[in-house]
Amino acid sequence: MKRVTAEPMDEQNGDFVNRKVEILLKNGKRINGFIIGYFKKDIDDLNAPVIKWHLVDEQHLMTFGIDPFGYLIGTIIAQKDILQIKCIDSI
Amino acid sequence: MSLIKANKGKITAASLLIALGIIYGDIGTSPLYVLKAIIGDRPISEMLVYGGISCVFWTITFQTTFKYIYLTLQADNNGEGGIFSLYALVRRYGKYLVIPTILGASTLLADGIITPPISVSSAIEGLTNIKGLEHIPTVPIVIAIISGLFFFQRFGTHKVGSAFGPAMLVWFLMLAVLGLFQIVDHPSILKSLNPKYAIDFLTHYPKGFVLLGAVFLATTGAEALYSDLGHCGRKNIRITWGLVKMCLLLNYMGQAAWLMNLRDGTFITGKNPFFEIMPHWFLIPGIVIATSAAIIASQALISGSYTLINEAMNMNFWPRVAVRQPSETKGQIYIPSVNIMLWIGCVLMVLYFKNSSNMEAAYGLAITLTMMVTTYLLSYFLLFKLKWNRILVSALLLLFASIEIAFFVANIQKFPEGGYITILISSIYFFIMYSVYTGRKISNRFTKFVDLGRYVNQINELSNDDAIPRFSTHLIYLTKANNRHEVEEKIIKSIFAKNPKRADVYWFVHIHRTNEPYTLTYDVSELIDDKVIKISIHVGFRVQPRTELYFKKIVQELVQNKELNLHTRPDGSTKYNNEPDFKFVVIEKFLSVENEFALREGIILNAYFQLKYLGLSDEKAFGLDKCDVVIEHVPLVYQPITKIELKRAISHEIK
Repeated sequence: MKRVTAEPMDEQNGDFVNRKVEILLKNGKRINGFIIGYFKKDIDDLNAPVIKWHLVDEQHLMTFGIDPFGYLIGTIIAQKDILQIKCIDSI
Repeated sequence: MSLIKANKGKITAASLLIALGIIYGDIGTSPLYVLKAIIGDRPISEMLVYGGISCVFWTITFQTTFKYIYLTLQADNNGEGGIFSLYALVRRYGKYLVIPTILGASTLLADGIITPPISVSSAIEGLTNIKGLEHIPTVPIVIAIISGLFFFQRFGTHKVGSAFGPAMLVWFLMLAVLGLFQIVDHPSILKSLNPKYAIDFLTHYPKGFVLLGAVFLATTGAEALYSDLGHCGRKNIRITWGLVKMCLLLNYMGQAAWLMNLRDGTFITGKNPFFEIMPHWFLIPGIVIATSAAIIASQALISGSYTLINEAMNMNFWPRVAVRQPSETKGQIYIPSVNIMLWIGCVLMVLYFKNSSNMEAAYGLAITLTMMVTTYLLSYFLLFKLKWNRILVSALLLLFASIEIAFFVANIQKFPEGGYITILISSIYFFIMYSVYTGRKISNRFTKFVDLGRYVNQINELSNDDAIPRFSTHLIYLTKANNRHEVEEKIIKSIFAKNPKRADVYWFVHIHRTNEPYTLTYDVSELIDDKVIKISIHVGFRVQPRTELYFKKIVQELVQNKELNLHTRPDGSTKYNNEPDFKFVVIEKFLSVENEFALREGIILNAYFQLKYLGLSDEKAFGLDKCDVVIEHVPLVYQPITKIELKRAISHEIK
């Protein structure tokens, strides 16, 4: 099991995406799922940190995180609310 | 200014002459109005004349020579100068540099609207010194000259540009000779170089401090001088400045000497000392030379504005607009929309202010803000790039901040007299730049990225699926993702959603804007050999992107190096047309109505998308307008509406 602190910078994104993760929030809550996408603070900056992660359940892994009616599947989690992201298993 | 590039490394007579023609238009034409503005309708006195000229000398020495010629010219970004080049050099060292930079650029552009009217009006008003022409209407002449100047911009300046250097040399020699003759008559004017006169003037002359606003007009061109660094090189500027400064000072002192030859208490209302020091027989040639210099100065400002807007556009501060290259001369550009905007602005200035004396009241206020911003950015450059001692940099910052704040306080008095116009124009520029910059940032924060590697197998499968009609042989997407492994989610959706787009090769092209002005390089990474390829093209902030041309060149090189199979068309049509089948997909975002905004975001995002709509389309902006492009529109859902109170009505059966 690989543990990475929640300081995701460019190349580290690869450590989380496509993998089953457990996210520990600052409020103590834990959320499990798969990260299928992320939002960056400044796309012009190569080293810009991720500001939000898109997390879905395993059955929605190959979706784009949006259902046919345009509604969000899964959860968007802000980086500022995250204490730690733990990679549980790779797919 | 985009005229002729001098060989920046070499110092030759030709390069020095070119520098004279390009760099000094603005600052070189200041003698047309500075002394007139200082004296105004005040009675002649030794304190006013000596003090005024002393202030001019020390202002030029501190602001132009020391701050710009010595210090700021060191801040060249691969040979280029100007506020955006300086910002590009230092932006990584400070979080809060962007707003001052936008402010400085806005005020510089706003002052660019008043420089052509004031220079040309001052020169043309010389005609009123000729007997019989005392009441000649100057406004139509000034408007005709300015309109002609703007009309001919589309043809470029390559044919007349070579005459600018000699014309300015004649101008500066004329300044020196005219001044010298007057100084010989009143040699004690040389005493005014003593700073004691400046201090006395500022502290004892009634409202002497406010008159700094008029003194400041002698150095307004210093900022333009820095912006034009790239055209001549530092050495050429520094060498020619010696001659220019001497000619300017001789003329200023000559005008002052003429004033001192008048009786104490005389008023010069309506007279311009610049023309008064000319012998009567020389008035017509003098006015012709002055008008030529004013036109060259205006040309410098117009070209400078194109360059500034072009840089602003490439640094994502300005909506995309059409940029033309009127000649083969490197760096020479013409921006039709800016040309019209400046022409309207200049004509309105002439119509509103009518004469140069009224324009002096509006001139200078905005540019003090630009200079303050340059000082601020320069301190970062000295501190972080040149690694100067922190105490020394702080001392310099304090020195120039004190001088410029003093000028600003003096200039702010001009606000009700006309300064409000340049501030108003600056505010419009600021709003546009701020909206484009911030709107783009907000919009980009809602761009979701995915891992491209996760989809490569599906892309490969789709590419080989004969059941799906082929969309094109080479399918190219423009991506904003700067990391090799990532791509926007909307691109993946575009490939797979609805009618999947089958192609032989999928390209993801990223245009990366560099902090250097003229970079043009690329790198390639293949995620699947000959199937999924990502290209990053690194383009300098002064280069117009020609994505299609760059892309085809890259493909050509890859094929030549046997790194890529060109994939001839499977339907056999290649024998009739061997050109590869490329199709670009451009995905444009639009602001969805499904948004709920806070006031600030609402204003910024609406302004951003409106400005985008008014500007150039993405395919034209990226130089793709001549090739096969498919435009797809995707909504930007920033803040989805969450409270939808939609209830199903109870149906009543119709009996």
